[in-house]
Amino acid sequence: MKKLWAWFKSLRFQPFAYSHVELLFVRAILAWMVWDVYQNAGTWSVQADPVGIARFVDLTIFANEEFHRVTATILLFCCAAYVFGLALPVVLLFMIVLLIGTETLENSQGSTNHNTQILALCLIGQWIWQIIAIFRKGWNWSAYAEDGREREQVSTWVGLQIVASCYVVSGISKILGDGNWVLDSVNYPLQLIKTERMSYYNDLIGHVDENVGWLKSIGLWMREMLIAYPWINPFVLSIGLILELVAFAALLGRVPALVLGLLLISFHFIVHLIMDLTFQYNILLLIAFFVGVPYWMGRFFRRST
Amino acid sequence: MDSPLGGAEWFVIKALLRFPLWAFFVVGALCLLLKENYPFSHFPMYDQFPDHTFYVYLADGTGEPLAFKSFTGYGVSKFKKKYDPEIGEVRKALDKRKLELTAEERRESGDLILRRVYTNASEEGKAMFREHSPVRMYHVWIKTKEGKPVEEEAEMVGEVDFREG
Repeated sequence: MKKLWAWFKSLRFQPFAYSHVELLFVRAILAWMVWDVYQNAGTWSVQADPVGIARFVDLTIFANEEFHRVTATILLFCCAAYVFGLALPVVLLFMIVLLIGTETLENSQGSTNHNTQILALCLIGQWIWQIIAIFRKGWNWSAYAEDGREREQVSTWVGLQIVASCYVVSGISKILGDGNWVLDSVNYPLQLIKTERMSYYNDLIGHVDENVGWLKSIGLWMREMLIAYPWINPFVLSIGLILELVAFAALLGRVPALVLGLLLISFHFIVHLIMDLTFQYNILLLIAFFVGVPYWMGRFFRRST
Repeated sequence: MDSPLGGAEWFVIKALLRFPLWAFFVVGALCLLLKENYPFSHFPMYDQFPDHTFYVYLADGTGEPLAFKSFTGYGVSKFKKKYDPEIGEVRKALDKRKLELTAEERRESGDLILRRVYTNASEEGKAMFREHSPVRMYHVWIKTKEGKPVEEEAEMVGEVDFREG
């Protein structure tokens, strides 16, 4: 008990001591995400309902095939340089411009999707930190140069803060929204039916099909329970709301980050099973910043040898 | 410490460095303030649970449903998200609740969204739209009645013949 109390008192909001392997792991995940987003960019020829910078600039060039082909090649080199921590202020800027350009265009079609905002904000936060570092200590070509690791540790810490912040903002939006979120969630079954129907009309197959695996069967059973007994919903959904609101605690140390990361991933996975919504990028960000896979693997192997 | 920055800028950077959670608070505040302005967002997904909602689907001229994704490459939820703000504008103009709008009053929005979806479709998708023309859009309300979810009958809110060019 004393040990636990001592550990609790030792928790501080301070950057984690990331190893080079862990920094590389985080950068590899982020680079893959940017590459994946850019590869799957839409072919929008208009900005039907401009948002963000699309209000001032015509971003349809990002849907131009030739432009996309050339920039994708450059992006590939930038992503590789980013993974290995080379010329970070430059390559980050290029990644940010392409990501914001394509995704602002995507979100300017009269509908918003929330897949890539956290990723974009993480990259912007990291780039700002890189610029601050240049003004403080000068240009640095590599994350492996003198003081490179220190810079990258703060950069990754900034990313962790931004992911945590976005989860807390999502929780605050639910509390500030119209009505009483917790009590009104008895109407959640309407959303379950809606998403199931929309999933069906996507391909006329849908996800409620007889040949689903055991995991999906559990999701379908949970879905049926939530529809049949709407009073369960406030209890179940409140767990998700609490997790979002306390996401900031991940900044207190490795253990809170791991626990919150795994709980948030589980929650995303359960919602995926129930509603057939995908949270691929959220889960990847949680794995990169919260879970700390290389750190815990390192600890596990050190202990076992 | 030598710095190419002026006093004020350097002060800001020093303040940020002394406060380790600057990114958390700055990003949080900007997201709540700027709302849906990419890359910022206040992440309003499922921030309300009203006692009614709806979905839409695509159908051919006989009312037979069509697999939306094979026409556009994206899902029905995006289709609905495009249509929703349009009927929101109609609601405002007529000073009614969305629920009170008749299928006729939603018709202009439905036609507009069908045309917009067609404009942004690939050449292959456009050919499919023409092949199945006239293409219809249906709107289905789901409401809570006596504590239970109930689906209402589908209403046609759009019909466009893309063969007419």
